[in-house]
Amino acid sequence: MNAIYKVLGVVWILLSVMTAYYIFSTAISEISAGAPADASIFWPIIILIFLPILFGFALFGYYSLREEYK
Amino acid sequence: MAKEKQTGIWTVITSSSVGTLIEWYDFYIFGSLATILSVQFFPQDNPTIAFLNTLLTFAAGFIVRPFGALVFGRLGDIVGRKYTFLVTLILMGGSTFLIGLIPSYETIGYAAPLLVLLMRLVQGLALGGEYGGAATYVAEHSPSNRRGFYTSWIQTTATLGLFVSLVVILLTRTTMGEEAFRDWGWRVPFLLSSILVGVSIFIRLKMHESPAFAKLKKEGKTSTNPLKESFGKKENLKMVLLALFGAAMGQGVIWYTGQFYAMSFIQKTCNIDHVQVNYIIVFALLLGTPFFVLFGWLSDKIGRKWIMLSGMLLGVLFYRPIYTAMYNLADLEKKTEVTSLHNIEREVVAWEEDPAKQITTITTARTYSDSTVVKEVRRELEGKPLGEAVKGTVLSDAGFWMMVLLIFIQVVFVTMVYGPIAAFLVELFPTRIRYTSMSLPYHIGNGIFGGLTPAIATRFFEESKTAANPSGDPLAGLTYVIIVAAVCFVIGAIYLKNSYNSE
Repeated sequence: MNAIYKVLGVVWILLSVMTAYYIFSTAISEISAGAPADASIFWPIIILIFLPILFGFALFGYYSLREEYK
Repeated sequence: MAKEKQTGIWTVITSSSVGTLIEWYDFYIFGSLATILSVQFFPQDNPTIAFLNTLLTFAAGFIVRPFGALVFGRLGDIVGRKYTFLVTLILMGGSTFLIGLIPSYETIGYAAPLLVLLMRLVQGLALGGEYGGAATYVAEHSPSNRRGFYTSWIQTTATLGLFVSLVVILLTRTTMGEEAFRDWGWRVPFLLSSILVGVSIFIRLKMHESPAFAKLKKEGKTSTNPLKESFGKKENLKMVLLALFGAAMGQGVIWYTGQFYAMSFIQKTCNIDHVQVNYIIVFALLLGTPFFVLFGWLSDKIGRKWIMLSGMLLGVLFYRPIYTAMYNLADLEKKTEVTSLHNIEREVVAWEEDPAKQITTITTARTYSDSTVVKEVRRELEGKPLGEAVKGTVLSDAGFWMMVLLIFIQVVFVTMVYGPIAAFLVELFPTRIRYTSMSLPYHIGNGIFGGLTPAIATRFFEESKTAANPSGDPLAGLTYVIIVAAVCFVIGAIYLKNSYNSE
């Protein structure tokens, strides 16, 4: 079980990094491509809200990696 | 003695639930009226953008909920539960009432959407403080072996609040007629809130502080800095993170998909008639609501964990088939029109703004072989179109009940994830920081992951439109929901303990 916690800890950290990358890259490509006006409202809001949550998710992964949940 | 205690707990549940129900009612009339509000408060150059902006304003109320959880959670852990959720009730009632008074975009321009946004933010802050207080208050009055059952009554209030909002809208709409409702009648459900909140404040003023908190306060053991204690100490922070990613996140998306996205889907994607949409949701909610109590009760017997996780897994597995069936029910390409029943009615009346001119209302009704009727109502002023045509599909009786069944199934998923969660969250944290600690993950899960579901799902749907498929994939919005619920299920299954009855 400890090994599962460790492996999943890495998975959650990677997942949070990949999601952050996806959100950033999609936002930049949509806004720079001159997407409709609502895109320039939508994406900053999404980034502002989800970045702290993704940080929390990575922290959760870190605690799992450190076997804090066993 | 036992009977006396029982009577006490039911008074606590009733007085807490009535206030919470009214807060949900206040919060959800905005969402239930999103289509009309987008016309009233936003420029109409592009109706899709106006609708998206309304969804974002609606979502703004959800986004600030975690901040409300922090502000009022802290207050509740320092001052007490009773006074904190009295303040949230007053804030919610006041802001809802004021939304009903804001002039339209046509009258005051961009001040209209800004004022709506401001009031929506106050609503979100208030709700962020309300729920944790009510759940904590009831839980702290409940015996540990019946905590799931008693707190499940609080859990019904979110659905019942939505139900009451739909019934009030439906009654107002049918009483005054569609045109008057779109014109000014939509304000009535907002203004009515002041009466409901007044009654609720009266009831809550008679309540006493929770015994667990009163005892802590008497002993001088309340927290002096609940925020630091909740999120600054690793032992507690890691439980906050687990509560969010292993339960509240998945619960939030399942809740909002089953009750809000479903409504938005049949209204916007399936283009079902507005009044019929309200009836479908009202029946599905009414039939599904008792299951909150059933699963709350069951969680006292077998534990909270697997009931909640089963609800998430069922959503992950069955959302696509359910939404495909919903889409097919209203898909006119799969139906054959009975041309002999094609009907056009014209009604000519004097124009209300200039009685010298005449206005023609043309109602076209197309009937299909399964008795589905598509109605289009358009108005002409001296031969020229006046406003946009209103088009809606009215399902046959069989189609109507099938749609009710499909949404009812989703509501049952909601009751599985939501019925036991108040007891689950309360049991994760100690009394001295409970209000703060449980409120934050709950409101991030529901306010952000759940509350943003309609906006994110609509975005996914818009992005699925390509040159090859200009109408887009109607089920694209479910991708977000399924991913979030699946990740939460895995985390919950591996990390959560199936504990219950714990003090």
